[in-house]
Amino acid sequence: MIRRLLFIILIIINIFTLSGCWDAQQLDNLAVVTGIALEKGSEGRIRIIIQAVNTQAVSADSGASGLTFQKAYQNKAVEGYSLYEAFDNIRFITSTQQFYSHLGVIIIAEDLARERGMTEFLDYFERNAQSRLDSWVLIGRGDLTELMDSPGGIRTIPTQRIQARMETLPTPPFAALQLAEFIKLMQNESLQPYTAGVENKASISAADEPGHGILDGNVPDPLYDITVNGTAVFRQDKLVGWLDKEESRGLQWLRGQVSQVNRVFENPDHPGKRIGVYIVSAKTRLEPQIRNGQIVMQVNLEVQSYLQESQGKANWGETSALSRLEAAQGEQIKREVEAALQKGQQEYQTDIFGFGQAVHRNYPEEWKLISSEWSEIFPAVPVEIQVKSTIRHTSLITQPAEPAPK
Amino acid sequence: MSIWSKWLKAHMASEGTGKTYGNSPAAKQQNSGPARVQPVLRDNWNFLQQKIGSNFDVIFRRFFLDTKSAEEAMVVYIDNLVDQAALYNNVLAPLMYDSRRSREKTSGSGLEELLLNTMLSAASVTAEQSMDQLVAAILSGGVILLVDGVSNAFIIDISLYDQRSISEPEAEVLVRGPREGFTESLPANLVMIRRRLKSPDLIFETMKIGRISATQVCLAYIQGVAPADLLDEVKERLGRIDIDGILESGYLEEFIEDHPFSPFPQILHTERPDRTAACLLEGRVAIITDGTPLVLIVPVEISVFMTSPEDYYERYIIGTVIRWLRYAAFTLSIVLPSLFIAITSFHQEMIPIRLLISISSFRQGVPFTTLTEAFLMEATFEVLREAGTRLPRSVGSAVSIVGALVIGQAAVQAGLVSPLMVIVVAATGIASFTFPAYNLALTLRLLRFPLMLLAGALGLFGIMFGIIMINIHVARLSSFGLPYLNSLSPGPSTNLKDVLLRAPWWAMNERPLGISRNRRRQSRSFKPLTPNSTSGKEADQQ
Repeated sequence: MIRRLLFIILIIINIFTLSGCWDAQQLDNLAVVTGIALEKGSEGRIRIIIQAVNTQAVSADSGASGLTFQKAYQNKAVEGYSLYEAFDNIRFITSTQQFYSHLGVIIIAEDLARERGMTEFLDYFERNAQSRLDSWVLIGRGDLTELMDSPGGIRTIPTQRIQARMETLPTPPFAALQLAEFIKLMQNESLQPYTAGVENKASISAADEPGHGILDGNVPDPLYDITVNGTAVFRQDKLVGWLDKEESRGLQWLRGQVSQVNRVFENPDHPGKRIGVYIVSAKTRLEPQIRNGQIVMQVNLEVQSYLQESQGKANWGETSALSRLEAAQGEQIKREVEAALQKGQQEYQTDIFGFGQAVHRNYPEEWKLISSEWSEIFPAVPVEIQVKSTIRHTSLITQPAEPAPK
Repeated sequence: MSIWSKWLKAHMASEGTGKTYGNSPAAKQQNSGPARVQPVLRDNWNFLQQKIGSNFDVIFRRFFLDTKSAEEAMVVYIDNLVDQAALYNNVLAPLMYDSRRSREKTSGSGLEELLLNTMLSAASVTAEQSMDQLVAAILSGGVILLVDGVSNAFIIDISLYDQRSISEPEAEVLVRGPREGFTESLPANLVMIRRRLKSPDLIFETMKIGRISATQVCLAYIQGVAPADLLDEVKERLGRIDIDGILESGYLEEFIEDHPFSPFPQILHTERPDRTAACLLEGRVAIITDGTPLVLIVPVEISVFMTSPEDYYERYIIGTVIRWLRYAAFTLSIVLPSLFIAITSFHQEMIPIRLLISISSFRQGVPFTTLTEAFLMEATFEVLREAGTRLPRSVGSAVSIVGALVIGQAAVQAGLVSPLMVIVVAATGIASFTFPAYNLALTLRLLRFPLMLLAGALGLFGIMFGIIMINIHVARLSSFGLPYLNSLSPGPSTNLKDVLLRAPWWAMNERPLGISRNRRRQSRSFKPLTPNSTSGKEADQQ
């Protein structure tokens, strides 16, 4: 009996000591951090801006307590020579515990990424048990303090808005990466990382005259809004340049990341008129070949889409007309891919497309010989692009409606 | 623990030596052999007078038989326990007026046969010699006839007393199913079972338990279906009981259950004769106690507590769905508050961010930790529930108003608790009301609190630990030797189709595993066949 009692006591002691999560945290003491921005501080220090939810403003009862015009978020800026030092300094300026498990967005200023590289910043986020590997790693262009303090819209927390912009569609507007993937690409010898940039830009919806909308008792639309703008291209962990909208699409095609996106291109029958398609499925195959001792990259794309918009007179019910349309779609995709190659391969000379990985996969023996010189070989690799373009259907109508001659 | 059990053993042994646990009141006082009926009426009269004569409601009625010799006779009974009309018509009148003719008809046989065969016209008459038995019979509503010169007494059973009429069982209400429930009267209850199972194999065995109360306890089973060793075990356990009084079957339950320290009920109690009959058909044994409408049923598995008779009366698809609903409610009612505590105070990363923000904004200004908050609310809820059950119905509505307003509305507005906690507590409460078995619901009410403590101290880890401990405990339980989780055991011939599903009646060809050895319920599957197309057409033409 005594043995048994001892046994039970031992078990009870063990549960308390073995459990990893000892400290309870009351929710109202937590500041839920939704995003962090890093920028250059004074004297070589890093300045971090921490954005946390202001739960008092979000509360359903806020009307009653007269806090209606509080911001839904709270930014705190601290400096330190390292991230950890900076985070430690937060304790001096807040009464709440920062909670990083819902950290959705890590924004790193462009100049930091260019000059110091990403490694020393990402280490903290990868190591910390609280932070998640699915936070978006983004490059901030322009003034980050302003970017982090840009209220407006339905989701009033700026970093939440950025996160939503990345996640509402299956394919982000620009090629963006999450922390785990970014680090994976960075560590891979046959790949280079890239990610999207964010910027505070003049809002289209903002009215010309200030005070617009205030009559209804609404907060006026903000003059600036956060936009995802450009894809940052890295060599190893340092930012080397940017891809614009079309080039980013080309990158997404090559990386095989496209699904459920819209594309617009010129109507093959009516120059100047536009055709809109919705791409439902896209397959990318990178097939390197060795011809005469030289690596040639064959890019095979298979694209299927639905017709969504058609300007100009046409009858897409005809097979020949539809084939022309399919060919035009293929051409458009090819143009995008070529534009991306022009920038990434020729100008920045960094293998963000995964060509090295494809060679490694298909010619493992040869890769061993060339891997160390890949950065020299890569810019000269000829690329052959083949697009198998299909338009599955023309949606509800085949011909655009046309006014009858009267 | 060990000291206690040793003391208990020793104590019980010393009590048990040299004594038989007789049930009659006089068994222990009579050291020189039990008293017997004497041929002289006066002696018997004195004996009874001394034994029970000081009771004002005991009637000694002396009269003379209508015979040539006009023997002196006496009936003894308790005033309001006996049907006065029957006493006059079937006992007193024939003996006092009509017996001369009877005597002339019969040829010279003894007075005793004469009385039994031709004079006493009551239906139930037994001859008895033991004075103790006579006293017991008087106390339970019998009429005793003593005749001078006869060394036997007669027990005439014409008892009649007021009893509650049969009504719908309030604790086990069904939408579809019989409306009658057991009453406090044992004979009425037996009738209700007998009417459902008209088989010679349905056996009622009776015994008296309680030195003072001498409560009649009846064992009901179906011979050939209920296993014999189970019967022996039940009888043995019931026979062991030595207590002054049994007022409710709950007394018995605690004396005969397998694991007295477990919070889990191991014996089913029901008010429904239909449910009792169903359990008897499965090979279980019912213990019916006089004076209470609650019948005990042994042995039972945990799944029995989670079924309602309606599962078997309503269509099987619906029965299955409702069963799963109940299982979900079962889980919720144990773990919901503790899950809420664990996740909001330890594992905030598990909550989607928008929910987290909303929970967190509701918690702004709440002065307590989530654990304290939950305990406060749960305790209040339990108090309200208890108040609601105990109060007279007219006051009960006041409690619910106060409960809903004060606890729900005011506490939130005063910032004492967060509205989410109110939702959690309410959901838990409602989930625990879905239980057909009140005693299992009580158990879960109890287990919720340690789980909440564990969750508050250790988070999900604590909940897992608690659940594992409960599982280990439940797996160790048994009810009259039947493993408590018997019906959940896998295997080729299992009960799972009556646990995970409610299989249609034509698919349940066998009785539940582990209880009866005679498992065949029906010889083959009587699945209804769809009429073929030709017969369908004919039907259409008609």
